Amino acid sequence: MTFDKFSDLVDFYGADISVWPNGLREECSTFAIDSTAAKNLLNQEHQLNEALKSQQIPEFSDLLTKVLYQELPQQQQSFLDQFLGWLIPQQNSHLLWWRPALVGCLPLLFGIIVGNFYSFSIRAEVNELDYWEDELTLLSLNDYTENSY
Amino acid sequence: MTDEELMLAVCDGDQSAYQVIVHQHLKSISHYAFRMLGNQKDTEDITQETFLRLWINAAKWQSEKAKLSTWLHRITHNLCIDYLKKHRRVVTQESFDETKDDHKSNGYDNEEITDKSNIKKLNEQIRNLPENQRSALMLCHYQNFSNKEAAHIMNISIKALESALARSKRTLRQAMAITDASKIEDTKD
Repeated sequence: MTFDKFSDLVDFYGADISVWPNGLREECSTFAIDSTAAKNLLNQEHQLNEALKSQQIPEFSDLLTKVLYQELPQQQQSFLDQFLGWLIPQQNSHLLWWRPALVGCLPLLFGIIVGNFYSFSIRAEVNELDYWEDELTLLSLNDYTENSY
Repeated sequence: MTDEELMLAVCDGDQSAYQVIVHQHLKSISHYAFRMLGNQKDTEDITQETFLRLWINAAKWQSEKAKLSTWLHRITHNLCIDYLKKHRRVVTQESFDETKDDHKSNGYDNEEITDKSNIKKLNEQIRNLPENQRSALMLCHYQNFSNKEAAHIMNISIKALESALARSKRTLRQAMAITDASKIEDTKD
Protein backbone atom coordinates (compact mmCIF):
# COMPACT_ATOMS: atom_id res chain seq x y z
CA MET A 1 0.00 0.00 0.00
CA THR A 2 1.31 3.41 -0.97
CA PHE A 3 0.17 6.76 0.33
CA ASP A 4 -1.13 7.80 -3.10
CA LYS A 5 -3.27 4.70 -3.33
CA PHE A 6 -4.49 5.20 0.21
CA SER A 7 -5.30 8.82 -0.62
CA ASP A 8 -7.35 7.72 -3.64
CA LEU A 9 -9.27 5.24 -1.51
CA VAL A 10 -10.04 7.92 1.08
CA ASP A 11 -11.39 10.10 -1.73
CA PHE A 12 -13.48 7.29 -3.19
CA TYR A 13 -14.88 5.73 -0.04
CA GLY A 14 -14.56 8.34 2.72
CA ALA A 15 -12.82 8.40 6.09
CA ASP A 16 -14.53 5.39 7.63
CA ILE A 17 -12.38 2.41 6.69
CA SER A 18 -14.94 -0.03 8.12
CA VAL A 19 -17.25 0.66 5.15
CA TRP A 20 -14.56 0.22 2.50
CA PRO A 21 -14.61 -2.86 0.25
CA ASN A 22 -13.78 -6.07 2.12
CA GLY A 23 -10.47 -6.79 0.42
CA LEU A 24 -9.02 -3.40 1.37
CA ARG A 25 -10.05 -2.94 4.97
CA GLU A 26 -7.38 -4.90 6.80
CA GLU A 27 -4.45 -3.65 4.75
CA CYS A 28 -5.64 -0.03 4.90
CA SER A 29 -6.34 -0.15 8.62
CA THR A 30 -2.78 -1.33 9.24
CA PHE A 31 -1.41 1.34 6.90
CA ALA A 32 -3.46 4.05 8.66
CA ILE A 33 -2.00 3.02 12.02
CA ASP A 34 1.59 2.88 10.77
CA SER A 35 1.70 5.97 8.55
CA THR A 36 1.57 9.47 10.01
CA ALA A 37 0.65 10.94 6.62
CA ALA A 38 -2.28 8.52 6.37
CA LYS A 39 -3.43 9.51 9.85
CA ASN A 40 -3.28 13.19 8.91
CA LEU A 41 -5.20 12.53 5.74
CA LEU A 42 -7.95 10.67 7.62
CA ASN A 43 -8.09 13.51 10.13
CA GLN A 44 -8.46 16.03 7.30
CA GLU A 45 -11.20 13.91 5.75
CA HIS A 46 -13.04 13.80 9.08
CA GLN A 47 -12.73 17.57 9.37
CA LEU A 48 -14.07 17.98 5.86
CA ASN A 49 -17.02 15.71 6.66
CA GLU A 50 -17.79 17.75 9.74
CA ALA A 51 -17.57 20.98 7.78
CA LEU A 52 -19.88 19.58 5.12
CA LYS A 53 -22.35 18.51 7.81
CA SER A 54 -22.50 22.10 9.00
CA GLN A 55 -24.36 23.14 5.87
CA GLN A 56 -27.95 23.84 6.59
CA ILE A 57 -30.93 23.45 4.30
CA PRO A 58 -33.85 25.83 4.77
CA GLU A 59 -37.34 24.62 5.55
CA PHE A 60 -39.58 24.23 2.53
CA SER A 61 -42.80 24.77 4.40
CA ASP A 62 -45.22 24.98 1.47
CA LEU A 63 -43.46 22.58 -0.84
CA LEU A 64 -45.20 19.42 0.37
CA THR A 65 -48.61 20.97 -0.21
CA LYS A 66 -47.57 22.28 -3.61
CA VAL A 67 -46.29 18.90 -4.76
CA LEU A 68 -49.17 16.90 -3.33
CA TYR A 69 -51.86 19.07 -4.78
CA GLN A 70 -50.34 20.14 -8.07
CA GLU A 71 -52.48 19.43 -11.10
CA LEU A 72 -51.56 16.00 -12.39
CA PRO A 73 -51.86 15.59 -16.15
CA GLN A 74 -52.71 12.52 -18.20
CA GLN A 75 -50.16 9.75 -17.72
CA GLN A 76 -48.11 8.51 -20.64
CA GLN A 77 -49.10 4.98 -21.62
CA SER A 78 -47.57 2.49 -23.98
CA PHE A 79 -49.29 1.90 -27.33
CA LEU A 80 -50.56 -1.48 -26.15
CA ASP A 81 -52.06 0.02 -22.98
CA GLN A 82 -53.68 2.80 -24.99
CA PHE A 83 -55.17 0.25 -27.41
CA LEU A 84 -56.47 -1.96 -24.61
CA GLY A 85 -57.94 1.09 -22.92
CA TRP A 86 -59.79 1.94 -26.14
CA LEU A 87 -60.87 -1.65 -26.74
CA ILE A 88 -62.12 -2.34 -23.24
CA PRO A 89 -63.16 1.03 -21.80
CA GLN A 90 -63.47 1.49 -18.05
CA GLN A 91 -67.16 2.45 -18.26
CA ASN A 92 -69.21 -0.62 -19.11
CA SER A 93 -71.40 0.93 -21.76
CA HIS A 94 -73.17 -1.42 -24.19
CA LEU A 95 -72.85 1.27 -26.82
CA LEU A 96 -69.12 0.62 -27.00
CA TRP A 97 -69.43 -3.08 -27.83
CA TRP A 98 -68.84 -2.23 -31.46
CA ARG A 99 -65.16 -1.83 -30.64
CA PRO A 100 -64.41 -5.46 -29.68
CA ALA A 101 -66.83 -6.56 -32.45
CA LEU A 102 -64.87 -4.51 -34.97
CA VAL A 103 -61.59 -5.94 -33.73
CA GLY A 104 -63.08 -9.45 -33.92
CA CYS A 105 -64.13 -8.83 -37.56
CA LEU A 106 -60.70 -7.63 -38.59
CA PRO A 107 -59.34 -11.12 -39.45
CA LEU A 108 -62.44 -11.76 -41.61
CA LEU A 109 -62.03 -8.45 -43.45
CA PHE A 110 -58.37 -9.15 -43.88
CA GLY A 111 -59.17 -12.57 -45.37
CA ILE A 112 -61.67 -11.11 -47.84
CA ILE A 113 -59.25 -8.41 -49.00
CA VAL A 114 -56.35 -10.79 -49.39
CA GLY A 115 -58.56 -13.36 -51.10
CA ASN A 116 -59.71 -10.79 -53.66
CA PHE A 117 -56.24 -9.79 -54.67
CA TYR A 118 -54.27 -13.02 -54.56
CA SER A 119 -55.00 -16.43 -56.04
CA PHE A 120 -52.31 -18.21 -53.99
CA SER A 121 -51.46 -20.38 -57.09
CA ILE A 122 -54.95 -21.94 -57.14
CA ARG A 123 -56.18 -22.20 -60.76
CA ALA A 124 -59.74 -22.83 -61.88
CA GLU A 125 -60.24 -26.20 -63.61
CA VAL A 126 -62.41 -24.82 -66.41
CA ASN A 127 -61.35 -22.03 -68.65
CA GLU A 128 -64.60 -20.25 -69.17
CA LEU A 129 -63.55 -18.54 -72.41
CA ASP A 130 -62.50 -21.82 -74.06
CA TYR A 131 -65.79 -23.44 -73.03
CA TRP A 132 -67.88 -20.78 -74.80
CA GLU A 133 -65.71 -20.92 -77.92
CA ASP A 134 -66.22 -24.69 -78.13
CA GLU A 135 -69.94 -24.29 -77.65
CA LEU A 136 -70.19 -21.71 -80.42
CA THR A 137 -68.15 -23.91 -82.78
CA LEU A 138 -70.46 -26.90 -82.18
CA LEU A 139 -73.52 -24.74 -82.76
CA SER A 140 -72.10 -23.46 -86.04
CA LEU A 141 -71.62 -27.07 -87.30
CA ASN A 142 -75.31 -27.94 -86.93
CA ASP A 143 -77.32 -28.18 -90.15
CA TYR A 144 -80.46 -26.35 -89.33
CA THR A 145 -82.02 -27.00 -92.79
CA GLU A 146 -82.70 -30.65 -91.99
CA ASN A 147 -85.29 -29.85 -89.43
CA SER A 148 -88.17 -32.26 -89.91
CA TYR A 149 -90.61 -30.27 -87.90
CA MET B 1 -46.37 -1.24 0.29
CA THR B 2 -43.18 -1.77 -1.67
CA ASP B 3 -41.90 0.67 -4.25
CA GLU B 4 -43.03 -1.71 -7.01
CA GLU B 5 -46.58 -1.88 -5.65
CA LEU B 6 -46.73 1.87 -5.20
CA MET B 7 -45.49 2.51 -8.72
CA LEU B 8 -47.95 0.00 -10.18
CA ALA B 9 -50.71 1.87 -8.40
CA VAL B 10 -49.39 5.18 -9.73
CA CYS B 11 -49.41 3.67 -13.24
CA ASP B 12 -53.10 2.94 -12.70
CA GLY B 13 -53.66 6.57 -11.81
CA ASP B 14 -53.85 6.07 -8.03
CA GLN B 15 -53.19 9.50 -6.52
CA SER B 16 -52.94 8.20 -2.96
CA ALA B 17 -49.97 6.02 -4.00
CA TYR B 18 -48.43 9.11 -5.58
CA GLN B 19 -48.86 10.96 -2.30
CA VAL B 20 -47.16 8.17 -0.36
CA ILE B 21 -44.16 8.37 -2.69
CA VAL B 22 -44.06 12.16 -2.34
CA HIS B 23 -44.01 11.84 1.44
CA GLN B 24 -41.20 9.29 1.25
CA HIS B 25 -38.91 11.14 -1.14
CA LEU B 26 -39.71 14.85 -0.96
CA LYS B 27 -37.08 15.75 1.63
CA SER B 28 -34.26 13.93 -0.11
CA ILE B 29 -35.16 15.30 -3.55
CA SER B 30 -35.63 18.89 -2.40
CA HIS B 31 -32.36 18.83 -0.45
CA TYR B 32 -30.44 17.53 -3.44
CA ALA B 33 -32.00 20.13 -5.71
CA PHE B 34 -31.20 22.87 -3.20
CA ARG B 35 -27.59 21.76 -2.94
CA MET B 36 -27.31 21.83 -6.70
CA LEU B 37 -29.18 25.07 -7.36
CA GLY B 38 -28.70 26.99 -4.16
CA ASN B 39 -31.93 28.91 -3.99
CA GLN B 40 -35.36 28.15 -2.69
CA LYS B 41 -37.47 29.24 -5.65
CA ASP B 42 -35.65 27.10 -8.22
CA THR B 43 -35.51 24.20 -5.79
CA GLU B 44 -39.27 24.21 -5.40
CA ASP B 45 -39.78 24.37 -9.17
CA ILE B 46 -37.43 21.48 -9.81
CA THR B 47 -38.90 19.38 -7.01
CA GLN B 48 -42.43 19.90 -8.34
CA GLU B 49 -41.29 19.03 -11.85
CA THR B 50 -39.55 15.88 -10.59
CA PHE B 51 -42.73 14.52 -9.04
CA LEU B 52 -44.76 15.59 -12.03
CA ARG B 53 -42.46 13.50 -14.22
CA LEU B 54 -42.77 10.61 -11.80
CA TRP B 55 -46.53 10.75 -12.30
CA ILE B 56 -46.38 11.05 -16.08
CA ASN B 57 -43.60 8.54 -16.69
CA ALA B 58 -44.36 6.04 -13.92
CA ALA B 59 -44.62 3.21 -16.45
CA LYS B 60 -41.04 3.82 -17.56
CA TRP B 61 -39.50 2.99 -14.19
CA GLN B 62 -37.86 -0.45 -14.19
CA SER B 63 -37.31 -1.81 -10.71
CA GLU B 64 -34.61 -4.22 -11.86
CA LYS B 65 -32.51 -1.38 -13.25
CA ALA B 66 -32.61 1.14 -10.43
CA LYS B 67 -34.19 1.78 -7.06
CA LEU B 68 -36.99 4.31 -7.05
CA SER B 69 -34.90 6.81 -5.08
CA THR B 70 -32.07 6.47 -7.60
CA TRP B 71 -34.48 6.99 -10.51
CA LEU B 72 -36.00 10.05 -8.87
CA HIS B 73 -32.59 11.54 -8.14
CA ARG B 74 -31.62 10.95 -11.74
CA ILE B 75 -34.65 12.91 -12.90
CA THR B 76 -33.79 15.68 -10.44
CA HIS B 77 -30.15 15.67 -11.48
CA ASN B 78 -31.02 16.00 -15.17
CA LEU B 79 -33.51 18.76 -14.45
CA CYS B 80 -30.94 20.64 -12.36
CA ILE B 81 -28.24 20.34 -15.02
CA ASP B 82 -30.67 21.50 -17.74
CA TYR B 83 -31.83 24.33 -15.54
CA LEU B 84 -28.30 25.51 -14.77
CA LYS B 85 -27.35 25.35 -18.44
CA LYS B 86 -30.48 27.15 -19.55
CA HIS B 87 -30.33 29.90 -16.99
CA ARG B 88 -26.55 29.99 -16.82
CA ARG B 89 -26.76 30.31 -13.11
CA VAL B 90 -24.28 29.34 -10.48
CA VAL B 91 -25.15 28.36 -6.96
CA THR B 92 -26.04 31.56 -5.19
CA GLN B 93 -24.90 32.87 -1.87
CA GLU B 94 -28.21 31.98 -0.26
CA SER B 95 -27.42 28.33 -0.12
CA PHE B 96 -24.48 27.74 2.07
CA ASP B 97 -24.15 30.79 4.22
CA GLU B 98 -26.20 29.37 7.01
CA THR B 99 -24.26 27.23 9.39
CA LYS B 100 -25.35 25.11 12.25
CA ASP B 101 -24.68 26.57 15.65
CA ASP B 102 -25.01 23.31 17.43
CA HIS B 103 -21.91 21.80 15.93
CA LYS B 104 -21.15 18.59 17.74
CA SER B 105 -17.71 17.34 18.61
CA ASN B 106 -16.67 14.03 17.12
CA GLY B 107 -13.43 13.50 18.98
CA TYR B 108 -11.29 15.15 16.28
CA ASP B 109 -9.76 18.57 16.35
CA ASN B 110 -12.92 20.56 15.62
CA GLU B 111 -12.06 23.92 17.10
CA GLU B 112 -11.23 25.44 13.75
CA ILE B 113 -14.16 23.83 11.96
CA THR B 114 -16.65 25.56 14.19
CA ASP B 115 -15.23 28.87 13.07
CA LYS B 116 -17.96 30.31 10.84
CA SER B 117 -15.66 32.23 8.56
CA ASN B 118 -13.73 29.04 7.95
CA ILE B 119 -16.90 27.27 6.95
CA LYS B 120 -17.97 30.16 4.75
CA LYS B 121 -14.73 29.85 2.81
CA LEU B 122 -15.34 26.15 2.41
CA ASN B 123 -18.86 26.86 1.22
CA GLU B 124 -17.50 29.28 -1.32
CA GLN B 125 -15.22 26.54 -2.59
CA ILE B 126 -18.20 24.19 -2.89
CA ARG B 127 -20.09 26.83 -4.85
CA ASN B 128 -17.17 27.17 -7.21
CA LEU B 129 -16.82 23.43 -7.86
CA PRO B 130 -17.74 22.29 -11.38
CA GLU B 131 -21.24 20.82 -11.56
CA ASN B 132 -20.12 17.22 -11.95
CA GLN B 133 -17.80 17.45 -8.93
CA ARG B 134 -20.46 19.12 -6.83
CA SER B 135 -23.04 16.51 -7.86
CA ALA B 136 -20.68 13.65 -7.06
CA LEU B 137 -19.92 15.09 -3.64
CA MET B 138 -23.56 15.83 -2.83
CA LEU B 139 -24.82 12.42 -3.92
CA CYS B 140 -22.15 10.44 -2.09
CA HIS B 141 -21.82 12.59 1.00
CA TYR B 142 -25.32 13.89 1.70
CA GLN B 143 -27.67 11.58 -0.12
CA ASN B 144 -25.74 8.48 0.99
CA PHE B 145 -25.68 6.85 -2.41
CA SER B 146 -23.01 4.31 -3.22
CA ASN B 147 -20.49 5.25 -5.89
CA LYS B 148 -22.29 2.92 -8.32
CA GLU B 149 -25.68 4.51 -7.68
CA ALA B 150 -24.26 8.03 -7.88
CA ALA B 151 -22.61 7.16 -11.19
CA HIS B 152 -25.95 5.84 -12.47
CA ILE B 153 -27.72 9.03 -11.40
CA MET B 154 -25.13 11.18 -13.15
CA ASN B 155 -25.04 8.84 -16.14
CA ILE B 156 -21.26 8.47 -16.00
CA SER B 157 -18.92 5.57 -15.34
CA ILE B 158 -17.89 4.68 -11.79
CA LYS B 159 -14.32 5.65 -12.66
CA ALA B 160 -15.47 9.08 -13.81
CA LEU B 161 -17.52 9.51 -10.66
CA GLU B 162 -14.61 8.53 -8.43
CA SER B 163 -12.38 10.92 -10.30
CA ALA B 164 -14.87 13.78 -9.83
CA LEU B 165 -15.29 12.87 -6.18
CA ALA B 166 -11.54 12.78 -5.60
CA ARG B 167 -11.02 16.14 -7.29
CA SER B 168 -13.78 17.79 -5.32
CA LYS B 169 -12.46 16.47 -2.00
CA ARG B 170 -8.90 17.45 -2.78
CA THR B 171 -10.01 20.96 -3.69
CA LEU B 172 -11.96 21.29 -0.47
CA ARG B 173 -9.25 19.76 1.70
CA GLN B 174 -6.73 22.08 0.11
CA ALA B 175 -9.02 25.05 0.77
CA MET B 176 -9.36 24.03 4.38
CA ALA B 177 -5.60 23.57 4.74
CA ILE B 178 -4.98 27.05 3.27
CA THR B 179 -7.54 28.55 5.63
CA ASP B 180 -5.92 26.79 8.57
CA ALA B 181 -2.47 27.97 7.54
CA SER B 182 -3.60 31.56 7.13
CA LYS B 183 -5.21 31.41 10.56
CA ILE B 184 -1.94 30.24 12.10
CA GLU B 185 -0.14 33.11 10.34
CA ASP B 186 -2.69 35.58 11.72
CA THR B 187 -2.15 34.24 15.22
CA LYS B 188 1.62 34.66 14.88
CA ASP B 189 1.22 38.29 13.77
